[in-house]
Amino acid sequence: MKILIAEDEPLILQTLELKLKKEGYEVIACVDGLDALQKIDSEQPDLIITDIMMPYMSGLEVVRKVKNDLSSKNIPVIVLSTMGQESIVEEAFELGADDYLKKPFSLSELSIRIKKLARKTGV
Amino acid sequence: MYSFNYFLFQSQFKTAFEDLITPGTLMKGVLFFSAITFSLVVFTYLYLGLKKKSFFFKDKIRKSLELWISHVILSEEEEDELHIPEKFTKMFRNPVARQYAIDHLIINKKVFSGAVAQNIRHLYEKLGFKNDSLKKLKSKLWYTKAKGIQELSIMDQNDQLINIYRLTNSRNELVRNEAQNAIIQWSGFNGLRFLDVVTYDISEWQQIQLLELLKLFTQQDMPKLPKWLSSTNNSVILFALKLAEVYQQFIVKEKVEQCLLHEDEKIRVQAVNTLARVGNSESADRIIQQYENESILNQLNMLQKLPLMAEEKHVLFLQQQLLDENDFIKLSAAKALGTMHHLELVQQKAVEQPEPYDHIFKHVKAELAF
Repeated sequence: MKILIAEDEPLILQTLELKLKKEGYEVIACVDGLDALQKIDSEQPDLIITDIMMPYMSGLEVVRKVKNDLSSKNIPVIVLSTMGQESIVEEAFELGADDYLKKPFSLSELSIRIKKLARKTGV
Repeated sequence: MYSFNYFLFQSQFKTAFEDLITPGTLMKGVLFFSAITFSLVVFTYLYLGLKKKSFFFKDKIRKSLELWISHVILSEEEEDELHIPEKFTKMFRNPVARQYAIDHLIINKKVFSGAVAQNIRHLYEKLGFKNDSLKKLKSKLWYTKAKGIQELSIMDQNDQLINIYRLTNSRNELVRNEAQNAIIQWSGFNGLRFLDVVTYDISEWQQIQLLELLKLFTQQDMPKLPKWLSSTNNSVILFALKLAEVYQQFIVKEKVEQCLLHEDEKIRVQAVNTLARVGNSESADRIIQQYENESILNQLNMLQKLPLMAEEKHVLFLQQQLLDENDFIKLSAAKALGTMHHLELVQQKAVEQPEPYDHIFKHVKAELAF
């Protein structure tokens, strides 16, 4: 299973990448929203994990573009938010996000959510 | 006379200039400027060299540490089995490498909870980084001190509670804010005891931060709330009023009503906002008593909040405000009447005097329908 992670903090991106690789996933790491969109187009991941606050293009914009594109609208998206971003999370759900995790979150919880979404969407 | 002086000056200047332009002085000048140019080139070269060295050193640290730290914090082994390779033990003698590792751990700790967070904390302690943070706490530089508090707080070093508690009333605002945040992060509602001692101003932004941090905890009793509402520090009163509003502390209703008479307008405005959550019909009476002495800003606020406390007996007061000369007051009173299901009184007034009440009536009616 191919997972795309969009996170602008390289240290966090690296930890997430290592963890998911350890669990046997193929990981595509992206440092911002624009990078993510390009790689979604070229790599066609099975699941997307995106941070909300990112340079060049926010996570919300990524969700909007993914869910409005015929070729990517069925890819499940997990949004990573921080404290005080509740209204943004609501907006992300309205745009079509499938799940969210509030920072700080445990990596085992992330794994469970990935598996659950994978089962639900039949990936 | 003028032309003679000018001629004299010109000839003297010419002689002095000719004296200066001798091969000897010219040589000295050339040597002087060459020395300055050479020094500048050497200084620039050394400076850039040092910067380059520092950059490559940091890059080397980053490359070797980053992956190791990520592996360690993702490790599922028992804490005691943590092995620190020799090369890192050596590297950590360098303060730049230590700070890099601390920053790396802090960034991860802010994002991850559960087992990863425990591993991060363990690594921070095992590598002796806690001592680095404690040294920062003793620094005389405010930004170093603030960083020390932040590191200890994020790394859950609760045993430092007393040391950090002392800084909640620091002269420096940033140190004070960091210390207050740390205390709340560790102790939740119990941490609010710093309000007993704080003599400096708690900024509006800091109050928002504290309220956000408290959201992470289950609500507890605040027995000292009445004391804080009588504080000599106005910002403490303001914050206590916000606490009473957010956590609906009905028990302090009377104390809040007393704040309607406070000399600080911000406190009076906030007291009205708090009473909208914890007040009742008696509070509406107190607000109406105070209404005439208030600024337009707070009068508008009072009219907006009154429907949340008022009863039928207060309708007459609102009806009287429809006659106020200020159009904003008229509109707010009409909205309040509308909210209390007495829009017919505004309509009646619009029939009697269409200008401006007809506009007000239509506006309020449309707003209520929306």
